[in-house]
Amino acid sequence: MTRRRWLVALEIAVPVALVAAWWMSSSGSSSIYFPSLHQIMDRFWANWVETRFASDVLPSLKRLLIGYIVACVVGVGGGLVLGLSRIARRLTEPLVHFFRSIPSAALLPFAILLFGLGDAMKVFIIGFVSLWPILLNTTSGVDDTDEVVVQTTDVYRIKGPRRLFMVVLPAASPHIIAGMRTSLSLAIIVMIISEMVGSTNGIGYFTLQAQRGFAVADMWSGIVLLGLLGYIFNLAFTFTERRILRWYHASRAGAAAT
Amino acid sequence: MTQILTVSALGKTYGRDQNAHVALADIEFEVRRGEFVSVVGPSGCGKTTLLKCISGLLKPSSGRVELHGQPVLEPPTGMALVFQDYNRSLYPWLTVEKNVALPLEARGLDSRTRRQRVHEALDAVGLEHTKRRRPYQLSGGMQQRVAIARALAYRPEILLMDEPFASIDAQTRAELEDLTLRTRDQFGITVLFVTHDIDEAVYLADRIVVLTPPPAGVKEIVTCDLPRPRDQIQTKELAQFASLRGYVYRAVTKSRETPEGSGPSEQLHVEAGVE
Ligand SMILES: Nc1ncnc2c1ncn2[C@@H]1O[C@H](COP(=O)(O)OP(=O)(O)OP(=O)(O)O)[C@@H](O)[C@H]1O
Ligand SMILES: [Mg+2]
Repeated sequence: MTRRRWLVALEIAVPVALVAAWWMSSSGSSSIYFPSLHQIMDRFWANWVETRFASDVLPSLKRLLIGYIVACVVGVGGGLVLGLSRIARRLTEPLVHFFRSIPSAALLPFAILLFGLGDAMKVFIIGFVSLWPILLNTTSGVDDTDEVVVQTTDVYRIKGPRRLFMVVLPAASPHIIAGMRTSLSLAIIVMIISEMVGSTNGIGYFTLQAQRGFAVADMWSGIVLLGLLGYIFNLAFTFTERRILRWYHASRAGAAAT
Repeated sequence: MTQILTVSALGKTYGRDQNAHVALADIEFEVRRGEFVSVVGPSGCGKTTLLKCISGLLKPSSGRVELHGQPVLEPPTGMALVFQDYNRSLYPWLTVEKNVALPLEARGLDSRTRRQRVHEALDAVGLEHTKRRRPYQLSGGMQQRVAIARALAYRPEILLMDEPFASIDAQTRAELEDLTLRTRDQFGITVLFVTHDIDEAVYLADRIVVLTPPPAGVKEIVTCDLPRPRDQIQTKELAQFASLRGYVYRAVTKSRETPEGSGPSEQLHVEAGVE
């Protein structure tokens, strides 16, 4: 317990120390590229809290969440079908691997062609890129379900939605959630890229515009916000995962102990 | 008594060509309604394979299994199976209570009946107090008792059990043996019971199917007409128990000396707890 407390203390102390170091070493900086942290925080507050929250942060988050949630639903749904049906898996395998291998940036021209520069283009590309890790992980999670679990479910003739929600999905959930985690980082990256390429608002758009206008402190405020967002999403994700997969981690810990 | 289960010329081969492994060869026996049949045989001889073919989980390579005269092609209604791998057979994401209740839900029982049965079954295996826990919070023996409770709560017409008491201490094991016998009497359940333990086989059964070493065939079927109800002390003190036990023991050991026997390393586990 004390060891744990130490670790938690360190976990907090190290970033605080680093920020403090940054603050001090950059104070009074005259470099164009590395303004003082004080300046950056000023701009951060002015931009993200005072003026641009509704006009840039919310649109970014909205596109991110819509694209990501659609990808989760389609990915889990499709993955279930592919995981349960060997034939469907066989038929779609080359296609799935082709699509998921396309780098997201290469798809941008096509997405723009299809949807123009609006929200639809961004939601599409965020969703498209997030889809594959979730789909593939769901498929393998369902397919890898313990044979005895499957046989138990067969013997007791547990079928239909009950089987799906009480057995198949929970059994695959460790894989599914791992896929969702991968997709979330991809979604954030793609959100930024899509906003940099063609947009009139959003955090990525603002950050690039700031750089182009030599508003370096503004640019940094965008970078800091993106870092923070990524960190917060990850934290929220880890927190939910721990609750949903408690049985999984506990069972594995037990299996390792015996 | 009429027969409920017929196994005829049942064969199972895993893999094919050079990798082919004949697990079952020409198994033949039948089980009558309400009967308690034990299956004994050396480790690895194909007992689990046999139960999985009977339950419709595995497709036999040859021969057939019939329940009420109908060929078994998928797990039939009214059948329960207690798996040897109890720790993989419980759903780790569900509580103990929910694990027992899920098959009852699938059977369409209303929630009052379900709660009642779950309570009774968990109480009978001495685990009522763990109903809100999850399988990983229980010891191996407790997990197996949950799996047994799940099967008993289901009140199957025919119950298949694959070395269900192997990881359970002697005292609890005796209690569970008696519980199984009582439950079967109460609900007229037919039981097919695989075990390593010859004492257990004799104590429980009406008849004992002795399997040969791999590929498993039926070596002999021993009738075990000890008086019922059986009693852990009195039944085991009977001279008839000792002679049956000796007889089965010799049948099993002799069965290892057939030409295709796998040699002296193939041990029969007379004691419990060895997998
Ligand atoms: N899925 C499988 N694929 C290939 N061979 C298998 C498979 N399952 C079992 N076998 C083989 O079939 C034989 C019989 O296995 P089985 O599990 O039925 O034996 P058992 O009598 O239940 O053994 P134990 O007493 O140890 O539980 C073994 O030699 C085993 O290696
Ligand atoms: Mg076995």
